[in-house]
Formats: sequence, structure tokens, C-alpha cells
Amino acid sequence: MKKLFPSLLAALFILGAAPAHPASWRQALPGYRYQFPRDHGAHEAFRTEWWYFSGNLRDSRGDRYPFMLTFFRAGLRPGEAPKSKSRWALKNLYFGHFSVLDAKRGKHRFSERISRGELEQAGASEEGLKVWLRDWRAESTEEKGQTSFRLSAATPEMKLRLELKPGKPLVIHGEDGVSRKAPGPGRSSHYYSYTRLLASGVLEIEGRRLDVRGTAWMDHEFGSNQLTKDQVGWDWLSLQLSDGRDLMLYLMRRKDGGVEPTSSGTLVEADGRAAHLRLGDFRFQGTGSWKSERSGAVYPMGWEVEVPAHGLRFRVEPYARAQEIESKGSTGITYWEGGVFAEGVSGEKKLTGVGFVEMTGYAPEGRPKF
Amino acid sequence: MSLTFSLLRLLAWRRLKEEPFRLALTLVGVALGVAVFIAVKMANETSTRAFENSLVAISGKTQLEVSAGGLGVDENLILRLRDMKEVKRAAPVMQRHVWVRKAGESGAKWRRGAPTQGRAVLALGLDLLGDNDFRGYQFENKYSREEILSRIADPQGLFIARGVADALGAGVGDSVEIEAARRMRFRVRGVLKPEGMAKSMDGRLIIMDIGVAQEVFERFGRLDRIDLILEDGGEIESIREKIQSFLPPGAIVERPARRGRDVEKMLASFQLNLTVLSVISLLVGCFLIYNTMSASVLRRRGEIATLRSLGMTARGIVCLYGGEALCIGLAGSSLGVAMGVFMAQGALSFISQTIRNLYAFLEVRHVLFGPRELFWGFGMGLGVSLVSGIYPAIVASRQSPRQGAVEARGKVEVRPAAIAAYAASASVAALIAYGLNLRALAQGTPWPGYLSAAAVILATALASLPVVLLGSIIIRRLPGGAVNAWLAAHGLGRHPHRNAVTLSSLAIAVAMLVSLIIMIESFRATVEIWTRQTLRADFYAAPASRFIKGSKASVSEDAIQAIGGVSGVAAVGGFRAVRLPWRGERITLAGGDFRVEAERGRRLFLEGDSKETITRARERGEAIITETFSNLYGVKKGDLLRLPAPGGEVAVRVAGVYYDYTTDGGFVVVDREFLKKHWRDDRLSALAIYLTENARPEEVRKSLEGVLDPTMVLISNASLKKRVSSIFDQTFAITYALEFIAVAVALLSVATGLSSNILERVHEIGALRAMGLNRKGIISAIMGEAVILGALSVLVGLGAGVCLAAILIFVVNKLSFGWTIQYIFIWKTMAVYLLVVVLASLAAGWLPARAAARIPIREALSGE
Repeated sequence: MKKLFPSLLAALFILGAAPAHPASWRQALPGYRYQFPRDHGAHEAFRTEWWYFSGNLRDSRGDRYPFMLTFFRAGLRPGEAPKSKSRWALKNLYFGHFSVLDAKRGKHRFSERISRGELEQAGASEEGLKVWLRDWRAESTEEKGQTSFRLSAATPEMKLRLELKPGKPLVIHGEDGVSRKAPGPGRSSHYYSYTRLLASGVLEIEGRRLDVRGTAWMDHEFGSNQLTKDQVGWDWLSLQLSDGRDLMLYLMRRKDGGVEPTSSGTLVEADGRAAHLRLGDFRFQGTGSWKSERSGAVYPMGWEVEVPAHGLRFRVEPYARAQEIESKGSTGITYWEGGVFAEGVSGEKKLTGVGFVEMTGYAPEGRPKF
Repeated sequence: MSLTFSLLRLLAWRRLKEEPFRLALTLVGVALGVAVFIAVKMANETSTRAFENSLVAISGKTQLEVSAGGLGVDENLILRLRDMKEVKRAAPVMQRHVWVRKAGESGAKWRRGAPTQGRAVLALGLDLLGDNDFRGYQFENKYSREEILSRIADPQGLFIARGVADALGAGVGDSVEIEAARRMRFRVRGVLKPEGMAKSMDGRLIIMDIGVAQEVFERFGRLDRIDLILEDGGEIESIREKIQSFLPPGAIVERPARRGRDVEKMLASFQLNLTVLSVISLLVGCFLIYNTMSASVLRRRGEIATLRSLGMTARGIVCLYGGEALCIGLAGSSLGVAMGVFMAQGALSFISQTIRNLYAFLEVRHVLFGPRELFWGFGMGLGVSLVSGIYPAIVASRQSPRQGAVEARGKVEVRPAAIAAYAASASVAALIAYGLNLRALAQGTPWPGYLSAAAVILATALASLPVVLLGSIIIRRLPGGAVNAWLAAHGLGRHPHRNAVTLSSLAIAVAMLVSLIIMIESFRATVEIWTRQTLRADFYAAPASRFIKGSKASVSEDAIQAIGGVSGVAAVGGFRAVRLPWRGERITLAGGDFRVEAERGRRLFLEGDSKETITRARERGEAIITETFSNLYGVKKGDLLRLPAPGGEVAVRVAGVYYDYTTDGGFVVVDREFLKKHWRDDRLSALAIYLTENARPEEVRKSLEGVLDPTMVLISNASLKKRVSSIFDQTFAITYALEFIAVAVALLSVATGLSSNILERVHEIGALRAMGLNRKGIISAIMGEAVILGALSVLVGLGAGVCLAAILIFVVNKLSFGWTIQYIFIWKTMAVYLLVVVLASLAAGWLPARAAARIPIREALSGE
């Protein structure tokens, strides 16, 4: 018999379930007009939202530390709730995921948090980017029209403080303000990224204090019920290439083994111009596989990526295979999220890159619910 | 031995055939005693367990809990607790009592102004997202996690236990209304399976998310409790001390079991009282068995002589008659166990009602059948039978083979020395009783008081023999007495031992009756005087949930303004009561509007004028305390009380001590402005409303109802007094019931005692008949004996009862509950009760008298 109120809100991942009040959550529809910095903030009319930061940091000795820090907001009830004076009133759930890979030692660390936002212990501003889960925090600052970000997160064994300055303007993914996840109206999200952020700060791992630098990536995505029951998970890739270009690709995988035709990507030029990539414009193919002993999930491992129209062709490999995340204490999803590097060519020129891959829906338990 | 056993079987069987009536009376007597004992014990145990189980289930895996009495703890404290490395989980808890009813057409209507509404339930506010680590509860329906989440997040949703669902006839999707700080409507978003916490208190439980609960109780920023689960391996006591060290004043951290001990302590005196009462029937039953066994021995004198001459040893005889007593004990106790189980249900409803009225919310439907209680009851029945049967058995064994027929006709001579010895022992017992009372008062514990009561009973028993003889002599010498009266008195004096036993059983029952009547009537009169003198407001108003005992309901002080504006209202006094931890216990601190009280109210101070004392207390920031508080904690006028407050300790001097009968824990009362300042609480628990001289109460009531929130109960002075009186009656209903059973058993004892007498006097009765006394004459002589016995018992019982009442009032009650009761003896009530006892003993004499009258003359004299 299932326990009544699961303290680990396993199911309610960002992409949510059949909503209890489908009519009243706002849908992500074409024609959305972004307004910044307002749109960096929370969108409570939408059911799910996340702020995702990942990056590849290096210490002064050149050792690599890929990191990921994500804040999720899951709205529990749509519409204006009656104003409550209680600081425990339930409106949203907040989750936080924080991971760092010590690539040299092959050690992957993960920590997670959950909060109902009681006593202002978690929250997300609706004005600009300011989201926090106790002392984990991501904030934007605007200075002379220039946005930059400050991240901090700490656990007993690791601490991260980073300043992130955009190396390029933000890009809005998809077409007409929506990134489509499945056919049908509303099966979309509003999704934009800072594809190249210059990161500097301090990382502490088990007492070792490291000054770190590198590149980072920021995603902010919000929507209400963008996924369908036919979908099982997704593969997602972000890369910052040595020629100054950045690439984002995603494949929505269907239960029948196929790929959703609405899967797409974005290629960002060094000068910030972005090109939308449709499924037919690219290839993102796993070449090997890796089985997680912990979850039993078998993930593709090692990928071949091609964007023929832009002359891009390369291999992508993880810095370590064991970068799986089991978020039993928050979202309940088991997924692979890890730092990767790329080697290949752009036309005839050699090319390298660093980035992140995210793969969901491979573990029998802990699939995101559709 | 096996021969004895066979004989026993044979004799016992014959006896059953010969004397079914008397045997039946005896068995019923023993059974009643055992049954009452078991019923009370089970009902007590069931209610204690109900509290314990509910506490255990509701605290779940909580290892420590932080609370601060009625004011609650600052909710921000939870953050500090969560940051401690020793703390694994910290959960907020709101725990209140509310009225709930089903909304809509099919639901019961709220009754405007009625103190009871719908169903009283325990309402828990929990962090439903994170609470699973603490408490387990499951829905009856299966929901997906997403559904559960959406149900939890519904700010107008709550969850009810099966018990509430059944009581209201409500299910998922129905609307229910809650009366707490306000009346609010909720949707039932789930029904909890009757397991664990949702089963305790008969499932009278609703749960809601903590955010919703703060709204419902209008309690923002504070929590009733913070529950903690600690990291493994920590030493709980040292962690407790560490937490306590940083808690603000007034907040305490303790193990949940601690609250259980508080409940136990609260109920201890009440339950002890009942247990003592329940033993009386069994005690009276002793005499019954003694009488029956004596009669049996008498009747079989010839048989004993035969057995003895056939070579049966004295030991054999003891075994034989002891065995018979054991058989009676076995049969009576078995019957008693069955009856006890049956009666326990009734006792439980009485007892739980009293607990609800006086102590705390208790909902319990079924008696817990504890084998321990059954065993105890059975064992006591058996033990009592053996003890009371052994003396007659020994008497039988001492009979020589020759003696048999002779002594049956002889008169039992009691030596003057023996009489003197009995009288002296009775005096010693009385002295001991007196000494024990002094000791109880000196020690401040009620225990020696109970022993003293037992000593008084012993003295009564010991005094019975001299009284019987004296009575017999006096009545015989009364001038102008009829021959029947002479015969009756003579009969009494002929077998002083057994008549003394009969007399003592009835006298003891009467003593108990008298003492309880005096105690209860005194209590009632005291409370009535008190209510007349102190309840002076024309109306009282309080939130309806305040009428669930132990509720922490309160309303905003805006009510004072609203009521003050009603035409016809001269003054309004606000009253606030909060529980505070103090000296390791919990006390009630109250805030009263001293200005209004000094002017219009009145409290009965032990010394000093009400107006003067209250005014002084207000001006100097002093407190007044109830007499109960003073007695329980040894605090006197002029003492300094150090009370924990959010800003640190507050020292208040006691300006006066006053009589109060509203709670058994007592109050410390300060001016409400003082309470607001130091305890930062401006809520109200109740209001007293005084009208202008020419106001029309009914018109003012209508206007008041217009301005008061519908959840407020408005009670007129007269109906509050009536309510006090009806709670009083309910409270003592079980006391009366127990006492009447004891008197009934005592009357059975009178009936069996007289019939033993007759058995012994078969020959004499035959002779009287032969001399020309007709049947009517015999009947009136025997019944006269019954009346004399009854009257003597009443006399002795009255004397003992007056003493017992004094012990109950001045020692046991005072030390158990802290109440001073005026000793009031109401002759009229007493006379009625005692007349009833005498008449009942007359009725008890009827059957034996008729039996005696039917004895054929020839048969009676044939023994010659």
C-alpha cells in the first residue's frame, strides 16, 4: 500500500502530470513576447519552471570540474490563491539539484533540496531572476543594461560561489516564442538560454578551496503541460565550441522508440545570431552505452553529432560515465546529467568543445511523469 | 482431600436445591461487587489508554517536542532547530479542538448560541508534504501522487478520519463546516483509513495542511508545537538540554511521553476516587458471604456433628466449608466478570462524559477488554469470598461431635470483656483515623486520607457488636413496648455476632451513602453560593469551540469594541486564559479586565474585599490566584511568582487568593493589559457583558447576536448557572450509581442475615407458635427485627458517614483537587435517603419473615 503523503514528492517533476486544473494553468502559446529582465523571474501562471545552470570549470592547475545547479518551481494550484497570512501557505514546491564532477578523480557529487517555500525558505521573485532554496541561490544583477548572474550553493562536502557574465546575448529557442515538445497547442514551453557565460569564482570540495574559471550555460524554461503520454524522456545536449559557436539540441523520445518530429535545436553564431534547427537539420546519435549499477538504467554513452548545413561534425564523450543523478529526495527522477567534451570538425577545420548532456527516462523507476 | 471434594460437591449441590433464594442473593451480591469493580477499572483503563494511544499515535516517531503552552512557539524557531546537526527532521504542528458539521441540506444546522455544535473533533495542522517521516496515515481511496499533492494544496480542503466521516455522514467531495476562530467551509479531499493516528479517539480527527490550519485558528507566526526527529546515535537527554538552553523563556522541549504523564496526573485523582468507590460494593459483599456461610454452618450443625463423629478432622471441615465459600466465590466472580464486561460499557460512557466535561477531549466508544482487569476482578471476588467464608468455616470446625444439636438452641453469650474489647478497638481505629487525617494534611497528599476513611469503616465494623447488644437491651427496656417489639429486640440480642455483621455491612454502606450525599450536597451548595456571588455579568460570550474541554480557541479582541457599541451594554470585560509551563508543570495564566471586574464583578477572596484587592492588583501589576492554585502549589498571598514570558521572566506578587470552582488546576489572574504587555497576546477566550440597569436583556441579546461572529456562544447569566449545575449532576451521576449498587448489596446482606437468624431460631419460633403467637405475630417480630437492624445501621452509618464526609471534604478533596467545600448537612435530603434505607431493610425482612411464619410447629419442635 502506498504511503499517503510522500515526503519525497517523487512524481511531480517539472513537466508534471495530468494537471488537476487543466483549464486554468496558462499554456505556452506562440506569439509570446518576452520582456527582460521581467522574464528572468518566476511565472506563477505556468505550472512548471526551471532555472538551469551548468558549466565546465577549471582550477588553476587545469583540472576540470563540470557543475550543474538547477532550481525548479512546481505550481500546485493555478489561479490566484486566496491571500493567506500564513507563511506556510502552499502554492509552489521548490526543488534544487546541485552536482559537481571532479573529472580528474572521477568523483561525482550530487545534492538536492526540496521546500514548500515556508517561512521564505524558498521562493522565486516574479520581478527578475532571484530564486533560492535556503542558502542555495541564483540572482541576476543589471548593470548598465548588462545582466550578470551570481550563483551560490553549499552542502557539507562542497561549496560553490560563481559570478557569471554573458559572453553573448540570450537566445530564445524555437519559433515564435515557443519551443515545441509535441504536436498540439500548448505542448510547448517558453525557453531561452544564455549559451555562453564567463564564469569565475570559488569551488570548495571537501575543504579544498579552488579558484575556478570557465564557461557556463543558463536555461530558463516555463510551461504548463508540454509533454504527452506517448513520450518517455528526452536527450539534450549543450555545447560551447572552440570556434565561438554554441549548439543546443534535444530529442523527445517516444514510447514507440521513435523521436518526436517537433524535436529541435539552436545554433548560435559567435556574434550571437541564432538559427533554429529542425529535426531534419541535425543528427544526435548515441554510439555506445553504459549501465548504471545503481539504478539499472542503460544510457547511451558517447555520441555522434552532425549539423550538415553548418558543416559541423563531431564526437561527444563524457568526462566520466558515472554522472547519473537519483533525486529521490526531491523530484524523484533518475537521470543522467553530466559534463561532456567534443572533438570534430567544422568544414575542414578541427574543432573542440565542452558542454553538458542530459538524458531522462532511461531508468525503469524515476521516469518523468507525463 | 478427594473425599472432601466429593462431599463438597454433594453438599453444595444439595444446598443449591435447598436454598436457591439465599444462594442466588449471595451470588448476585458477589457478582455485583466484582462487576462494579471490573466495570470501573475497565472504563478507567479504557479512557487512560484512549489518551495514551492518541498521544502515541499523534506524536508518531517524534523524539522531542518543543512547545510553549497556549501561546505557542515562534515559527521561526523551526529554522534554528533544522540547522542543528543533531536534528534530522523538524515538523510544525497545530493541534486544536473544533466543532465540525456537514454543510448543506443534509447536514445538521448550527444552533445559534449553543455551546455544543455538530461533532467535537481533534484538528491537526501538519506539514502534509513532509510529515510522513513523523506520522503514518493512509487514504481509503487510492490516489496518484499528483492527485494527493493537488488535494493537499487545496486551501479549502481537508482530510477526515473514518470516525468523523461516519459521525457526519460525509465523504470525499462533501463540504463540511468548521467552527474555530471563524466558521469556515471546507471540501473533504480525502478520508483516512481507521489506522494508527486516524483510529485514536474513535477516529474523531481531521487533518489539514499547516498553512490552512494557521488560517483556521487565526494563529499566524506561531505554532502549537514543533516535533523533532533526531539523527541516529545522539544522546536524547543531552540534545534536549542543548535545545532547552537556547529556547526563549516559556518554551520547553520534552519527550512526547511527558504529555501523557500530564494527562495521567490530571485524571489520577478522579480515577482513584472512582476506584475506591467501586471497591465498596465488593467490601459490602464480604458481609453478605459471611452471613450466608454462617447460615450454612448453622444449618448443618447436625451434619457437621455426624461428619466429625465419622472421623472427619477439623481441617477437613475447614476445607469443606472453605471450599463452599470458594465455590460461591467462583460462581459469583464468574457471573461478576460477565456482568462487569456488560456494565463496563455503561461506566465508560459515564466516565468519558465526565472527563469531557471536566478535563479533556475524549472520544471513546468501545471498552478495552483487558484480561488484567478481568483477572483482578475475578481474583478479588474469589479472595473476598474466601476471607469472609473462612471464619464461619473455622467456627464449624471447632464444633465438637457432641455439640451439634445442643448449641443450636442455646443463647450465644458474649462476655462483657469482649464487648469492652470491641468498643476499645473501635475507639482506637477512630483515633488512628483522626491521626491519619492530620498526617495527610501535614504531608499534603490525599493518601492517608483514604486510609483514614478505611479506619473509620473498620471502627464502624468493630462498633457493631456493642451497638447490637446495647440496642437490644435498650429496646427491651423501653417502657410500654409491645410484645412483638420485645421479641424483635430479643432476637437481635440472641445472636449478636451475626447480627453485628449484618449491621456493619449495612452501616458501612449507609456511611458511604451519607458521606457521599454530604460531600456532593456540600459541593453543590458551595458551587451554587459561589456562582450566585461571582457570576454577575448579564451575558457571557465565548467561541463555541471553547466548550470543548482543553480547547485553545480564542477570538480577536475587536469583539470588545463591537459589543461595547451595543445599546444597553454598560461594560464589557475581556478574559484570556493561556497555558504556561511553570515549575515543570502546566498552569493557567489568565488575563481579566481588572478595571471592569473591580467595578462590577466580584470574586470571593479568602481575605479582603474584592474591589479593593483587584484594584490594587491592577495598579501594582500584581496577580490574584485561585484557592486551588494556592493549595496545589503552596503559594500564598504576598508571595512572588516568577512566570515565563516571551521577553523573559515576569515576577508578579500575589495580591489575593480567591475561591474558584471552575477548574481543578487553578488560575493565576493578572490584568489583561499586563498580560498583553508581557505575553504579547491580545486574543480573548471569553467575554463578560454587563447591561445597563434599564436594559431589556432579550432586546440586547438580539443586538449582541447581530454584532458577534456566529461562532460565538452567548449565554445568559441564568443559563450559565443552569449549565454549571447540569455539568455538576453529570459529573456525580456515576458516583450515585456506584453508591446505590453498594447499598443494594448491603440490603441483600440484611436479607441473608435475617434468614440466618431465623434458621437458628427455628426451635424458638416453633415454641412461640406453640405458645399461641400467630403467623402475623411472627412476621411482625421478624420484620421488627429487620427494622431495628436497619435503624441501628442507619444510626451507626450516619455517625460514621458524617465523619467520612469530613474526611472527603476537608482532606481527600482538598488535597486531590484543591477545593474548599463548605460542610453542609441537609437534613431533609438525608432524612429521605435514610428512611428509604430503613424501609428497604423492612422489605429485605419480608421474605425471611414469611419463611419463618410458615415453619410448621411440629417440625420446629421435633428436634427436642
